[in-house]
Amino acid sequence: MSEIVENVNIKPTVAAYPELPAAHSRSYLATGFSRLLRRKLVLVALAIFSVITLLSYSAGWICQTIIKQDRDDIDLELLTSGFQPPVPPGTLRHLLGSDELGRDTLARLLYGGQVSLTVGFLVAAISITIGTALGLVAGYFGGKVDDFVNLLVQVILNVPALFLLILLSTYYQFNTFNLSVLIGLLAWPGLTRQVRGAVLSLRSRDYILAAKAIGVPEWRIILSHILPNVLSLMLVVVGFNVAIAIQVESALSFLGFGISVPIPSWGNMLADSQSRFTSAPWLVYAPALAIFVTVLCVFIIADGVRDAFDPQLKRL
Amino acid sequence: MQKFIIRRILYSFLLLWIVMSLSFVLVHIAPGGPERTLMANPRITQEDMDRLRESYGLNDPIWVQYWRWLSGVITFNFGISYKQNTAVIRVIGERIWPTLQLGLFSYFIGLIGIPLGIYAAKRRGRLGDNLVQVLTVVGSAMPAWWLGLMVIIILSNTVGWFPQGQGGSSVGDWLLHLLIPSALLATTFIVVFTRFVRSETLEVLSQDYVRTAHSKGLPPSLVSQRHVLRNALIPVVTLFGSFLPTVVSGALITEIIFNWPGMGRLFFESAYARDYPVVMTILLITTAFTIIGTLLADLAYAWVDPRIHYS
Repeated sequence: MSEIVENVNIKPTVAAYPELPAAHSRSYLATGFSRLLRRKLVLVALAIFSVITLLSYSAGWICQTIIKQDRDDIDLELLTSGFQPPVPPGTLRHLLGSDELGRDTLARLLYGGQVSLTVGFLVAAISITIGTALGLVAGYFGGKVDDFVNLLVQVILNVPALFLLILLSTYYQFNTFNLSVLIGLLAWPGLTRQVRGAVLSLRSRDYILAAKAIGVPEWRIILSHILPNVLSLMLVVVGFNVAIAIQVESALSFLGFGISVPIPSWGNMLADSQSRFTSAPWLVYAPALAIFVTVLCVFIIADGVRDAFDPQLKRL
Repeated sequence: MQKFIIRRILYSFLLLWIVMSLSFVLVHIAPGGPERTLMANPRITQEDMDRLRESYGLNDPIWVQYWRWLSGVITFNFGISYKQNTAVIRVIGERIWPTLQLGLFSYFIGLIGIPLGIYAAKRRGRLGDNLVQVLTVVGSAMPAWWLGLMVIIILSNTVGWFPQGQGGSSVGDWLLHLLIPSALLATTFIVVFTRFVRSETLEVLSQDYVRTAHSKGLPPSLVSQRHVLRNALIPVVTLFGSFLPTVVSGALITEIIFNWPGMGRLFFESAYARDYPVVMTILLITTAFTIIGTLLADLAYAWVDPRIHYS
């Protein structure tokens, strides 16, 4: 032991490291959003959806300035130039061709997008407001309030939506607005059920009990403590609601019971064109692809939100 | 447990009653009644129409009509169809069997979703799982009716065959005509089943008892059989409850496209002709099926899962 041991490989001590910066703690919501934006597929879907929204809502401007065709304009130039409508894409400034009356397909597609997207957004707005409010109240307060809300939810959920909408459309004519409101009124129970379930499990958590113990008023507990934790669930359900709402509107219009001519909707564009599939396939592909791509994007975004906010999902 | 069953059944009756009353309200705010088809005829006078309404009992006070409606519905007497002048129950009766055929067949095809979901869960993150997931997302985003249209158009252009209606000539013909609409209707079932089973199986696979079974040395097939499958498939029972309503209502668009003579198509035709008794009754029947389906699913779930203890 009198020998001095040399070249002992001593690992550097903690003090040898420079001060590491303190770990930043991020809120659940911030973590979720950053995880959401890291997935390329979701980013692509968000981008495509934003482009579709932008194009559809600026349909008026685009029609005036860029393609110089409007929704209901019957292009007489076609007839004078010797073309027999419906014309294929590429003829005479009709980027996507025209239908059998000479109306530009692209213009109608953009306006149809307005219909579908408005339905989607309005349904989202209605289900978020009514659905979350009732779900929070029913879940938090329980008792008679809960029973009443549950009854309402069950009744609405049990009625088949498509049937009811067809029936109501025979009573009065639908326009975009009242159809969206109607679909929204049929969509909020789904959200309420999920929110109520989440609130039920959150209600007995320690931090809620602590807040009650120090005297935080009930409304503040609901808004500041319970609502943020339900937010991600809400976003997911609303996302799926929007996708389904767009599908319901196009199915309804396709059957002839929803938005009807002259307002173009992707659904009624498909209905008009199905008999001409062999002679004018672009008339079928354009609206069908539009519906498919839009709904797909919404689904991907909603799926992405669900995965991003799931605390148990380990990311690769 | 008994109390739970009784309470649950009573609750379903309550729901049924509310829905029946709502449908009564809907009938009465409908513009036009039995005299509508006659109004176009210029020789029908106002008093003829009043007499017609009187004979249908439409001028009685509202609670009398309500009671008549309610007692009629309970005894399956749904009134007379405006268009066909026969009992609604007869009109619907001859159309219900084709719908059930379509529904049952597509449900069986849809059961493929269960092994598909398990397969995807086992290969989570890898190619198999990703493919199945893409399939589910695409399957739910694609408007099923458009897919059906495409199939019809492609078939009629290539093979020259237009699948319309029911094939009546032989069993083979019937099967052929049944196949395509059922396959279309089945896509919804497959998507739902796959998604559900996949997430359930994933949850089970992450449980401790599965890990224990593996570490005990149990061969993977036995782990699957004895632990994974049993626990993952319990909640699938709840999906069977949605079978009834989805079949009856999901078939709506499929029947219209393929000209299938079922209840969905009847609904469409009657709505077009403003034949309100028939329309209302189909709505009522579909809702009743949904309520019964949910009830059966709840009861089955409580019976199958020994961990559930309803007080």
